[in-house]
Amino acid sequence: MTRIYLFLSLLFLGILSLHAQVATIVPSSYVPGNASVAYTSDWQPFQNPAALAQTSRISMTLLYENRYVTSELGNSVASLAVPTKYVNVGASFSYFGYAAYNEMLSSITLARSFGKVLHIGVEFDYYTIYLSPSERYRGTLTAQVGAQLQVLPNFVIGFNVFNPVFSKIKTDLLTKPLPSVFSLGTNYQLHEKVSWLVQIDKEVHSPMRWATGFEYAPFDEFTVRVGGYGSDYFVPTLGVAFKFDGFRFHLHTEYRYPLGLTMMGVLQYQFQ
Amino acid sequence: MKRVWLILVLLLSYVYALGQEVAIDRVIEKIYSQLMETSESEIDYSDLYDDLIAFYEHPINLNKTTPEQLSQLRFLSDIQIENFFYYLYKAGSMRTIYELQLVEGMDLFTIQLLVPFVRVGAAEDVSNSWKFRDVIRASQHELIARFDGTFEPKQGYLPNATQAYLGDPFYTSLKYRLKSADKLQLGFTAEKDAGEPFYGSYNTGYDSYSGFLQINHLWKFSSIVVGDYRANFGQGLVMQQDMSPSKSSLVTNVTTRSQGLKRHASTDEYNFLRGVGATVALGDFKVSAFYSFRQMDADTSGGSFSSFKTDGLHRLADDFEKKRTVNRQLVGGNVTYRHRLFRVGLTATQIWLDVPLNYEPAPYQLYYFRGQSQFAGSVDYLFAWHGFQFFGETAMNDAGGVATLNGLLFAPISVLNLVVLQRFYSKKYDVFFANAFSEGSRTNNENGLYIGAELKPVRKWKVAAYADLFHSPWLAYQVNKPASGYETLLQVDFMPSRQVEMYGRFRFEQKEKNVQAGDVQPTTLVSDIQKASLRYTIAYQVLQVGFKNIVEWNYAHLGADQTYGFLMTQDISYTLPWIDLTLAARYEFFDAPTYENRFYVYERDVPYASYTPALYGVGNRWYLNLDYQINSNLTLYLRVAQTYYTDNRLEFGTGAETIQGHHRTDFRVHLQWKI
Repeated sequence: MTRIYLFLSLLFLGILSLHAQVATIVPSSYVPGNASVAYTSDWQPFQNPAALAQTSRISMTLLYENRYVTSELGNSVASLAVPTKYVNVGASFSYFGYAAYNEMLSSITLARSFGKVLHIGVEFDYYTIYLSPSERYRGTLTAQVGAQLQVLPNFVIGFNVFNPVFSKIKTDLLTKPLPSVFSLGTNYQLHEKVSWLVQIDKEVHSPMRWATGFEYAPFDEFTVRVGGYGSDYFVPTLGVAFKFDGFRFHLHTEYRYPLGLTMMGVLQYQFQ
Repeated sequence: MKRVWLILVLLLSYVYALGQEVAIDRVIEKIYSQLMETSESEIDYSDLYDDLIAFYEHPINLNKTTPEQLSQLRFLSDIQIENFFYYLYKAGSMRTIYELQLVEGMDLFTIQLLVPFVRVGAAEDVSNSWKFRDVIRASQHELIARFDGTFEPKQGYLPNATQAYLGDPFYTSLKYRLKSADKLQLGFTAEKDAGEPFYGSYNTGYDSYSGFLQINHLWKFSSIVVGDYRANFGQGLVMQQDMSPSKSSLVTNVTTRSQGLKRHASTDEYNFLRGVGATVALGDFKVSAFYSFRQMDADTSGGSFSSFKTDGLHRLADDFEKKRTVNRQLVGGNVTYRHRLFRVGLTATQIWLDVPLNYEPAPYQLYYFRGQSQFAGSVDYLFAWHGFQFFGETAMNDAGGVATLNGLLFAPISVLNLVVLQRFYSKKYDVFFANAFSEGSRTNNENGLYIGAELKPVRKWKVAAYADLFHSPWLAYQVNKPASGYETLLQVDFMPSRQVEMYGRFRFEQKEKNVQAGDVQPTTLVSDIQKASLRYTIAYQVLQVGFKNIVEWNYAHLGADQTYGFLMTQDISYTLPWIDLTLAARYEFFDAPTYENRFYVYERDVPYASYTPALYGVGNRWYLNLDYQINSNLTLYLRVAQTYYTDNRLEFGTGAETIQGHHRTDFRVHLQWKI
């Protein structure tokens, strides 16, 4: 199985770093290297909706991300996941920016498992942007679909498309297309405590991005995450997670030269 | 007894490879994509589909087959075929299909492709006697109607168009086929391309009609063809109308696969003969003779013509002025002697045109054929000896041009197959129906050496590689000097489980090409162009849902420009068994900044059709195919596909095919009735 991963990784990762990728309106994830598309342990707001299918308990999540230690570049996210007999339901809200410029993303996510190997999710998103005092708020509806597939007992493939319908905000003065992102990734359980994630993203207008990372959980209560992603240059990521009863804390950092540090803190509560 | 035990063990350990439900369209798609993805030559998918479906419906009896029949399964290498017959010779006969595992060089990948098309029956269960009543009783009928269109209007259909199409914007075709095992085939095809008029002063009905009758194994006749047919002999230096052998990921498949006369059943309006032909078997000899008369399309306004019009399109008034303006007659023959160890053949063709062919005076066309008649003849051979297979053909035309192609296939050890192929096509050798292994699209003005190797080091793994060196001693199209180049390919296939298979492929080529230096240097410069591509493909099945991903990166370096392209696809297919409905969808992003970075990715289509768009620019493409079996005889196929460009273009396409905007949506309806 290691050979599959080596085969895949060696083929692409070295070469694909030649490209660059534009930033998206979707908040980052705490998954190592931001390679979340095949990450099955947790559903994270606005990431692959298929991951919600494996949620077995009601959970609430609060997330705050700050980019480059600049207060105006903060992203606040709240989400709720509710599993039901037929379909798991999630709701998320994100606010990015400050009074004079801000973007909001709200979503309803539906996901379902088919056996233990196929998980499919769909998300309906409403994006709002504050343009100016005269233009005020403009919004548009879009969607996200994804799947996670247990191809082999220790190997998962995930894919996800955000905004497949090319929604855009149109005003008299500007046209702002929402990013359309196609993500494809794998999650290989190297060892019962170590998993390795690899992902490729392509935003339709931009060059591709690659991402990879390792997650190591030496014991149930503690997890370490190391990874990175690249387009025109490499961005390393580092994170840790703690688990106490129903509570989980995730800390995640990225260093993007020359802009600086991005930090993220996540508090999650899972009802027992 | 040892063999029985071995078979039992294989049965148990290997049953998974064969026990799967065969999705024949998926198998054919895999074969086609292996042949086509790295090939520069065009492959008539309809013809390939037709051949393979015939073998699927009437599987080859492995105890009663011939090398010629097996070679029509184009994924089998010559060494595998030879090894199969060696096994049959040693074992006497096969008792079960699982014995294929015991044939040297027959790997897991090949067996999976082979199983749908073969069976193991008694050696004497196939009767070669031709009884009219039995043939008619065993006959099957097929009727196909197809209707295609594009939702976005093209320039040629707009009221104020300078180049206005005469017909409506829809493609329609009607096909009827009668098949009776391998003894009788009868067919009729009528077709109208989009833009061609159906009724009016130009056409009364369809624009193109085609029909054929093929009878096999009748008395001394191996085959008789009447109507539209194709002829293939030797290694393609004189007469090869089917797919020419070419570079592909099947690296050791470099010999021609079709031999003899064969009906033309596809909708290709150019590459076929029209007339009559027959092959007679006289002991170890096979003698073929054929005659064709066709009215070809060309611009003969100056009393001669510079090239045939090969697209078969008659959409503009100009096209009708070129329709059926040149009469072309062809007489040809072949004599082949077959021995257990070798085969020798002689082929000759004579062609007459009633209007002289006279190329435009471009330097690269200096040695092209000009005139009204052409003669070409050749000797071909194939010699098998102790795991070595020598093959080749040497030909000459009446202009004194010589062409020779010689190769050697051998397997020094059971897990390694090697092929070496040398070719020399002189610049004066320009023959109408030559279509042999070559780098360029014409079989002339080329020397080359090709070396290929296929290694199966362990089960589930396969490594294939080739290198091809080529040189044109005279100028060629878009190359204003004698030029050289080379091409290499490395492909690694891996099948970790029965639900998962993948491969990675690296390809690199360097050749010379004209570069326009603009106003600075008005003369054309010839520069090296380098292209590299890296593709990773994984296909897997989860529950009853099939998935496939392709990720490809490429690089092009021409003059001062270095550009990179990227493509990513997601395929999903699912069959709803309770209503006999199959859905197949693809979603892909492509980013090819220049034409040299363009991507070719095969797309699943309706039966007998394939679509491999050249994806160039930046954007997204998706398609949805729907197959619904209405009843046991009638199947409906629907397809919708859209290309959506995001590179801010305002229009795309050229001339009358131009579409305003940045997207194109096509649909296809295909109805198939079988009884």
